[in-house]
Amino acid sequence: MIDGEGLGKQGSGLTDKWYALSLKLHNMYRGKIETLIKVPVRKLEDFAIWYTPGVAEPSRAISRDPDLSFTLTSRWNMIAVVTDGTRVLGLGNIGPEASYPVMEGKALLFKYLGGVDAVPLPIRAGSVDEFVKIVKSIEPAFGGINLEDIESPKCFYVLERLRKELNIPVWHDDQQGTATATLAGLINALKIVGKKISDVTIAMIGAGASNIATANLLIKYGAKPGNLIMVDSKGILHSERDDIDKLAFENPWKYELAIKTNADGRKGGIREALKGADVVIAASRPGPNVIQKEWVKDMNKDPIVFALANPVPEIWPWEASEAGAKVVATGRSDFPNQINNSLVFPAMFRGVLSVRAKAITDEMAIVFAETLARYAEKKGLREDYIIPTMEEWDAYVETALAVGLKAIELGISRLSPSREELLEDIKTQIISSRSKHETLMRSGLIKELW
Amino acid sequence: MAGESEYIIRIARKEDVDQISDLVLRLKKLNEEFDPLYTVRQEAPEVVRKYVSDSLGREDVITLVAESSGRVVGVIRAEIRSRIFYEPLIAGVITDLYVLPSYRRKGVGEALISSLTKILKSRGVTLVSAEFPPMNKIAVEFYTNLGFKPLLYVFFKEL
Repeated sequence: MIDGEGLGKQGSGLTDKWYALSLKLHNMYRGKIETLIKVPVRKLEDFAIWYTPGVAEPSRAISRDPDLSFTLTSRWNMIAVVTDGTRVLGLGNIGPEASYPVMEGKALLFKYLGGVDAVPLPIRAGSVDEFVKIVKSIEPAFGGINLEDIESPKCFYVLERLRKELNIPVWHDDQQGTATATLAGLINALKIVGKKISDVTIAMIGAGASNIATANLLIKYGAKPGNLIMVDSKGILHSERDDIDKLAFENPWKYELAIKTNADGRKGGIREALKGADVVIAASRPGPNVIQKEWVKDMNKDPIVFALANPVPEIWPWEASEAGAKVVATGRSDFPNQINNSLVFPAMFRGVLSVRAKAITDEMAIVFAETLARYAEKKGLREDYIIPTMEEWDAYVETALAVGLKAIELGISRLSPSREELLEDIKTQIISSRSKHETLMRSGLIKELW
Repeated sequence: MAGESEYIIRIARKEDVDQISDLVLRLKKLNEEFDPLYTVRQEAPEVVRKYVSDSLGREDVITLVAESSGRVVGVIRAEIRSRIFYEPLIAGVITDLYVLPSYRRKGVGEALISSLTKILKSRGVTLVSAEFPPMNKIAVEFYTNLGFKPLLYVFFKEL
């Protein structure tokens, strides 16, 4: 499917080039986003509308009904991209300041792909309690919270509490975004090999934030818990592993899965997990050779291999194919079938913000994944096309629409527009964001300095 | 492993010693997580085995197991101790309680306590207590839910 022994080396040389260029351009542009005024200012008196004295009236109205802040201010379309900088990209705990370029980049994608106004918000928060307290205290300013790059298991505690305690959608992209994109890819991969989610054995390599969230979403979607085999750095998870009681205290989410999954009590490592499995979903550590070719040969007929580690997948896609893998996906844009949360978070928030949703539920994530999968299916499924690319912008529109409608159906939206109205709003927001940017570029206000 | 929901509680027998020892050793190893003073000795497996086996022969020790499909999946061990200064004069002290993870949340722990309580009452014991490291929040929650309260603090200082 992919021919390119040299791709790995080329890839790393290319990555070094990106590093140098990125540093230079971040310096030249001094960051990547700024705020933009969206109302006319024609003469001095207009300030009497947008600021004092006029602004007192919308304030009075909101003080009577705080939900009017979603109508009379930018809050409805404004989210915070919050991190404590404890697990940034593959860089580890580099601190909140150092995470800023990443959060700002995310804000850029939110705006460009979803028309969502996103504020980078790295915070200095030690404990879970402190983190939760800070985010709760900024709730009045935002229509949603996107959590990012928080170490595991802290991220599970933080997400669980904020989802419960906040009245706006809270999303941890490393968990839910990856899980949703993976589910979308898997739905189509299973169609290609003609297998059903309820029948397949799924080996999951890595038990960090994303694979734990993916396992839970797959179970919600219909995978049998007992048919999942999870592997972490100490081997296959099972209910009688020596460190099981320790897990109960340190990482209850992993503990739950250790007990629910692996009904046969399989023991061993990655190799043993792959034996006879229909699917492998790896989100562990950069490869290659974390998964070996020989092990893929031991999988069931027509294996599906998702090797999602970046920058180098756990197994090179061509090696997986040579070993008999029928469908292969990675996290990289230069290979086919990129499973990437950038396909999810902009549209997820576009949809929920447009209906002023109060939460993002697992059902909404599933509807999102199904819609993303259906989009690719309509275009024609192939082994090397199970999921749309980031360039197919109408996929963003369709998924945002589906998730907005689901929020209305679940009764957790503040607005209930018709399908047509919602579609119109979603398109307008995304197109407006892009055309403003294009206009600024064309006029030379945003210069192309390289 | 998906646990069986059917189990019985019965008095421990000689042939259970190996399985009980495995569970008790797991419990001691769990304690290791809470404090370096609970670092498990290298000889622990043999010591635990002797401890379990000796317990079965003692009048003042009650050992009960939860059995599911012929397998020991939970154990409780209690000693009857005298409290020479206080009324009531004797108390049952739970020294060990462990249930395999996949058999938890099915009421096995509570069933073990309840069977133990019956035996204690039949022997005229009206007070039951439990010993475990203070950082074991799961144990704290478990006993609190069953109506237990703190009775004794044991403070340590290394010399």
